[in-house]
Amino acid sequence: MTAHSRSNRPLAWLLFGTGGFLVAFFFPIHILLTGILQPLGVLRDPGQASLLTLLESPLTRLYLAVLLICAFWHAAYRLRDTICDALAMRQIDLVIVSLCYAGATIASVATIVLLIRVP
Amino acid sequence: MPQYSTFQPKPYRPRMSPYWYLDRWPYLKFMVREASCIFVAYFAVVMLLQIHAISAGPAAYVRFQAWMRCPLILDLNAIALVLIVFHAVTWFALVPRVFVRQMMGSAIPDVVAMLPNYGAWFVASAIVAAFILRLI
Repeated sequence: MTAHSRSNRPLAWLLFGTGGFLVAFFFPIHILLTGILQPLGVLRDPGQASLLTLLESPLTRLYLAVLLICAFWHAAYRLRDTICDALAMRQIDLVIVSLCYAGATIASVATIVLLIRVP
Repeated sequence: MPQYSTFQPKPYRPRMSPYWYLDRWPYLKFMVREASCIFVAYFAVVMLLQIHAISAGPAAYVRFQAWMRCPLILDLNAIALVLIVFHAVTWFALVPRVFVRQMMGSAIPDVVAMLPNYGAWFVASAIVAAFILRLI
């Protein structure tokens, strides 16, 4: 009976699933408001001072931390498989995995640092 | 088990084209959905830039707003919105596949199983919009 090594995929898939759920629920409204309607002037922008008051609240920072970190890990999991399958690069899977998850780690650290350092 | 040493037939492995996803429409839909992840990462970075701009002061925020008005960024945001809504719709479409059929005894129409997700999506979006527009 050969011993089968366990895959690490399920752990990463849990993060992917959480991220996918949060992205599906919350990203569209963020993109619609911050990315499209406010820059075009359809809806008013509350201004930096008002948004800073909102950002100072621990609840906002917790929400943003969870949303953005899960989004980065969701994107990393999916990006690895997309690059391997769409660009036929499954042979260098190890390189792609390292790059994707290194990027997700750096982005997660950047998110935490930025949210801690809100004045 | 007898080992045939003189002739070992090689297993047949058909070569797969790198453009396999262009063969059929469901494959292309799958690949488009998977490609939405790049735009998830892009907009998450945009949100990080927004957080930094808000923290850095009024001048930085004005620069951020001007950057968001660039046509290129507006186009990228529009594409990101379309693809992430596509991701959300396909995500909710999986719910009747994995959840309700296992829990309920009688068959429930797929639409009924998907409706709570769309309701929650609408409520969550309304709450987040109220916060972003500082109505709360």
